[in-house]
Formats: sequence, C-alpha cells, structure tokens
Amino acid sequence: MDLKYLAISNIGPFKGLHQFNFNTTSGKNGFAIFSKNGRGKTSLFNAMQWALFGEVFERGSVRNGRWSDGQRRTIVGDYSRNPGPMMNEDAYREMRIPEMNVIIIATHNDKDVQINRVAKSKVGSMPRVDNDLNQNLTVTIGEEVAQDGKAQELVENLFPNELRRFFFIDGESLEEYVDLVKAGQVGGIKNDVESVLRLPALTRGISDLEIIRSDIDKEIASESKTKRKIQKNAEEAQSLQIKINDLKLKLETKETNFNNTKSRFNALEIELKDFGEAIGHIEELEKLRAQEDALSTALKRSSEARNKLSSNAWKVLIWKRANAMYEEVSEQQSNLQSSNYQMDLINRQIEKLNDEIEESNGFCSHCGQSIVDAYDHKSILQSKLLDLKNQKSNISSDLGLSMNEVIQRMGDLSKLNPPTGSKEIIIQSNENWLEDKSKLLNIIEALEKEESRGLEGVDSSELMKKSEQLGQMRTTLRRMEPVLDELRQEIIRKELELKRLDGGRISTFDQKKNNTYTTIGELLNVMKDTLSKYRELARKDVERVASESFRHVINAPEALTGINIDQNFNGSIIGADGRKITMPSSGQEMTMTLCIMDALRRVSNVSAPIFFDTPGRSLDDDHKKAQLEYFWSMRNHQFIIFPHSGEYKIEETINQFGGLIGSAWELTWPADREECENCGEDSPLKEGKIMKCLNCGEKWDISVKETTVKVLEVES
Amino acid sequence: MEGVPDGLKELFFELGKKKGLSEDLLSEVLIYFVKNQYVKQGDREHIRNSLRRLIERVE
Repeated sequence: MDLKYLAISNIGPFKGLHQFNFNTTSGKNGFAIFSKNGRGKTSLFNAMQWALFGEVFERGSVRNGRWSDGQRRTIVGDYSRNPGPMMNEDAYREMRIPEMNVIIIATHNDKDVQINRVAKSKVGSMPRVDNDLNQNLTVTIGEEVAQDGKAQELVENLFPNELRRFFFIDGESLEEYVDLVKAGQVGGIKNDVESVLRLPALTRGISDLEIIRSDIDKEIASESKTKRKIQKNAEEAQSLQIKINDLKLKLETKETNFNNTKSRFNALEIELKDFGEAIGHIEELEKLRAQEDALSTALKRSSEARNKLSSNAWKVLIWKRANAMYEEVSEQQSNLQSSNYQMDLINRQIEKLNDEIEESNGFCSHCGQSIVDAYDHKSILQSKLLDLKNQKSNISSDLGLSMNEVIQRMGDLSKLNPPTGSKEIIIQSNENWLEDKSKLLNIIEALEKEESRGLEGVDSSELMKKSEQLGQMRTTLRRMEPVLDELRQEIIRKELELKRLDGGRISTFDQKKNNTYTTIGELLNVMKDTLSKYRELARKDVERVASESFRHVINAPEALTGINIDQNFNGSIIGADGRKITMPSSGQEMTMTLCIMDALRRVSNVSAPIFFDTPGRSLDDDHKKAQLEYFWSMRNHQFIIFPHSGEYKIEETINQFGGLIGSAWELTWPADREECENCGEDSPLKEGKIMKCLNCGEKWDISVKETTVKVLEVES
Repeated sequence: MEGVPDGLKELFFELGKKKGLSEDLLSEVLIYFVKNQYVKQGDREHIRNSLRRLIERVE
C-alpha cells in the first residue's frame, strides 16, 4: 500500500481540516514531519492508526518479558488528563455536533484505496463519552465499497492489525523493543515474529484442516453405516418382494377359484331357479330329514336318560309296602327303648328293696331309731318287691323282638328306600321320552307324506344333488371371501413395508468426499512439513536480511559484522570474530532492534508505509544519519518519520537527505512563527500574547495552541 | 501473493507439488489461511466451511 494523501480534521491540536500530500513524481519514499513537542506529531501518528484500526493505545511497556499495550485512548472525555482525548478540544467545545475525521487515500496493486473513519456526536454538543459518538468506517478499494465490519476486514487485508507494531514504531518505546529482542528475554517477540512470518496461518490452518478431516471422516463413517443399512434393507426388500409375489400368485389362484366357484354358483342358481317348487319340496325334505335326524338323536338321549333314571323304579314300587314295615319296626324300636328304660328303673328299685329287706334289723337305716312295727314294715317291703317283679315280668312278656333284631330289620328295610325325588325324576324322564317319541313320529309321518308327494318330470335325485352342490358352493364362497380379504390386506401391508425399505435408498456413494478427505490429508502433511522447515528457513532469512541492514546502518561495519537470531528469535550482535558482542552500546542495540524489525517486515512481504515517531531518540548522530540514509533509500516502503526538533534539525536534514525526501512538513503553533506570514519581516514585536509585524502591522495570538501545517521545500 | 513471505510460499509449493497437489489449490489455500490467520479459534467455523468448499471446488 502506497500512501497518497492524508486528511485529518479536529484531531489533537489540529483544528479543522489539514492535508498531507504524499504523492511524489520522483519515486522517493522518504517523508518527514518535523515539529517541536506538543505540535501534533504523535497525534498524526495516532490519527493514522485510528483510521486504519479504529483504536489507539497509550505507550506500551514490557511486563514479564512480554509486550503489553497501554490504555486505550478515548476520543472524547476528560481534557484535564495527559494525554487527553484525541478529538481537538476547541472543536469539541465549539462545534454544535463535534466530529473527528481521518481520510487516507492510497494505492494498492494499482487500485485506488480510500479509507474514511469518522467519529461524530450522536447526542449534540460536548458528548461525554465515546459511546455518545457514532463511529463509521467506509473503505473503497477500486470499485468495491464497504462499510464498518466488512470495511475493517478490507483494511486488515492491506494492513494486518497484528503487525502494526512493525509498521508504527514509537521511538519512545524502542528501548522496550530492544529488551524484547535482546537475547535472554523470556518470551521475547516470538509471537510477533511468528505472526509477521505468517506462522499462525499454518498452525491455525492445520487445526482447521484436522477438524474438517475429522468431520468428513465422521460423515463417511455415517454414510458407510447408512450404506450397510441400505444394503440390508435392499436384501430385506428383495425377500419381501418375493413374498409379495408369492402372495399375489396365491391370491390370484384363490381369486380364480373363487370366481370359478362364483360363476358355477351363479349358473347353478339360475338353473335351479326354474325348479322353485321342486327345490321347495327338496328343501322341505331336507329340512324334515334334518329334523328327523335331530329328533332321533334327542329321542336316543331321552331314552338313555330314562333308562338310567329308571334303575331306582323297583325301589319306588317296593317302598310303597316296605315303608309301612319300616314305620312299624321303627315304632317297635321306640317301644323297646321305652321298655328297656322301665326295666332298668324296676331293676334298680328291686335291687334297692332287696338290700333294704336284707339289712332290716328293727332300726331305721337312716336315723338309727328303733322301728316300732319292724315286722310290718318288712312285709310291706316284700310286698312292694313282689309288685315290681310282677311289673318286670309283664314288660318282658310284651317285648317280642330284641333291640338288635329291630335294628337289623330297620337296616334291611332302609336299603329299599329310593333316593329323594326319584319318583318325580323317573316320571319326568319318561314324559320327556314320550314327548320326543311323539315328535319323531310326527316328523316321520310328515316325511313319509312329503316323500310320497313326489314331482312329475323332475329327476329329484339329480335336483337334490345339484341343490346340495349349490349349498356347498355357497358355503365355500362364504368361507373364501375372508381368506381373500386377508390375503389382500397382507399384500398391502407388505407393499407398504417394501416402500419404507426402498425410501432410504441413496443411489450413489459420495466418492467426492473420499477424494476431499485424501486431499486434506495430503495438505495437512504439506502444512506440517512446511511449518517444521519454514520456521528455521525464516529465521535464517530474517537473520540474513537484518544483518545486511545492520551492516549498512552501523557505524563500525568492520567490527560488527551482523546479527545472530536464535530459535526464539532473540537477537544479538556478532563481532568480526564471529562471536556475540557481550556489551554492545545502547545505540548498537537500538540499531539491531530496528534492523530485525525491518528484516521481519521485509520477509513478511507486507507492503505498507512505515511510521516512525521520534526516530532518533537514543541514537547518536552517526546512527541517526545512517538510519535515515538506509530506510529512506528503500524503494518498496514509504518511510515516514515524525522527529522533534531536538532529534533532527530541519534544515540540516533537508540539506543532507533532500535527494531521498519526497515531502516534508513542519507543524507549528503561532508562537513558533518568527517572521510575518504576510510580508516575511523577521522581527515582529511581542505585546503580551500578541505578536505584531512592525513592517505591515500583521498581528497573531501566540497563546493559541492550534497547529498549522507548513509544507517544507525539498529537493525535487 | 502479497502478504505471504516468499520463503513460506516457495516451501509450501515445493512440498505440495511433491505430494501431487495442484498449484491452484496450494495457492488458494495458502492465501485463505494467511488472510484468516488472526481469526480466533472459536470463531473459525465459517472459515472451515468456506475452506472445505474451496478445497472441494479446486481439487
């Protein structure tokens, strides 16, 4: 990228619009913007960074061996801070809608590039914080116009943000860079170096390719699984198709049979239609015969039941008499039980009287007193005894049979007793038999009558045969219909299943995916090989280019022959004996650092201007001159320095390097003017804050801190 | 191929051609990686998608 114009508005001490023209017809790439401190060199330096990246940081520092950016600069805010906000304070306070703007016009690969970043208040006057601003970026490259996010992408393609430290060099921070570059610093600038050498492109690329390859691997595995499933489905489908074909064949055969039967049935039905009466006769005969069969069976059953149930009939008959006998014996048993009881009672009384008579001695057996008429008393007892014996004799003579005999007789008689209800059951079964018999006889009579009726001119046996056939066919057809329906349903079910199996078919396997997988594998190998070899290759390249620059810039090329860069990209100066210089001067270290940065920049192949704020700090005059001579001589990089008056004297520099300088400017405040802008008189009179030209009377306020850009004359 | 160090480009092409990869593929892939080298790991899904399409198209 070649810078052509820079226009800034309301940034730092620049109030209003200021322009810088970097167009040169001479092809010279050296540019210088001189000023005293505070006139806006760093504001310009920052304006470029803000336009490109949308952010500016305060001076950074090295912490724990690593570079750390300073705090982010605000656009508006607290103007009492140092450094204050980036927007010009007067513009901030005076404008109704404060606005800060930077426009860069450049060329890149023969295309015009315009980068325009603007920050404008969205809350009216004096916005308090940056959130009160609308910030917009518009980038035009050739015919392509982009806004904001997309525009930022375009900018970073031209000028990668990560590499800006190699293109925006702050001389005030150079000592920090030196610390990073010097051998022995942990961490150093390795990450920056890897970045500028594009190693993240390889490392992240490898990671990306590995992820893509893994994704494809999974996809292929998944497709193989699908493929296997499809094959399995295809086999199932084939088997199913065979089954369906079999079923269809079976259905067809059955349908043919059905239709044939149906045709025959219809034909027979039509044929028999003319023999309605005969059919009625035949059907009546069939019906009667069927009834005859049924009744014969019923009669047989009722006959068997009657015979079985009549096995107790003799008991029923005998019991009519046996029952009276049983009742009589039962009464005898009852009487016998009563007599036996009386006999027992009498026997006990006789026994007691015998004892009393035997023990009678004239005294009462109970109280022991003498009985007055003991003899009479004994006679009475004997008389009682005699009565009892007579009673006993009478009872014995009445008994007849013994108890055992009575029980035996009762047992014998009870065997003749039929089960309860036998009589009723026998009667009922007999009635059933009689009824069945009667019905059968009626049917036989009706059948004989129907058979005897006969039909003229009809071969009843043939007709009957056909009628039977018709009946059989009707039955067959009724039986066949659900079978056919079931078969049809089965075919529909299987055809649906077949459709499902065919639905997941993928016609072709993605061979292209396999090819991509292979290509990515090869790319990965190439990138890994490149990464392992390129790091060393790049180190050597950087070391070679840095050493060349160093020999040009250093003031003792015979003693200091080059720069050594180790594996971690830490640098050291090599002396004429090929050994590292152990105690280099600060100027030598600064120069080494600049040369390494320059080498990295050149090896990176990124073409962009280099902005160097306070470039001569910490360098002696010889190194400062050598530095400008070397960098301004480069043909492929614009090199823009922002020196303060203490570093590089304007006249001296322009005189000495005029042949290398494309353009140069001086930034001044009114207080810096030593001659009248109107007439050129060089002895103005100071009256307080006012300077007055004694020649033409022109006056200017020297208390105003507003930067004016003055184009310096250089050798064309 | 601005922005791609010559050494990197030459080595990548040399090794890639040995593997039988086409110059077009190597060139496009390298430019694409360099262009997107600063996109963070977590934000690279769309880059991988585009890269895959690029490889499928060019291979």
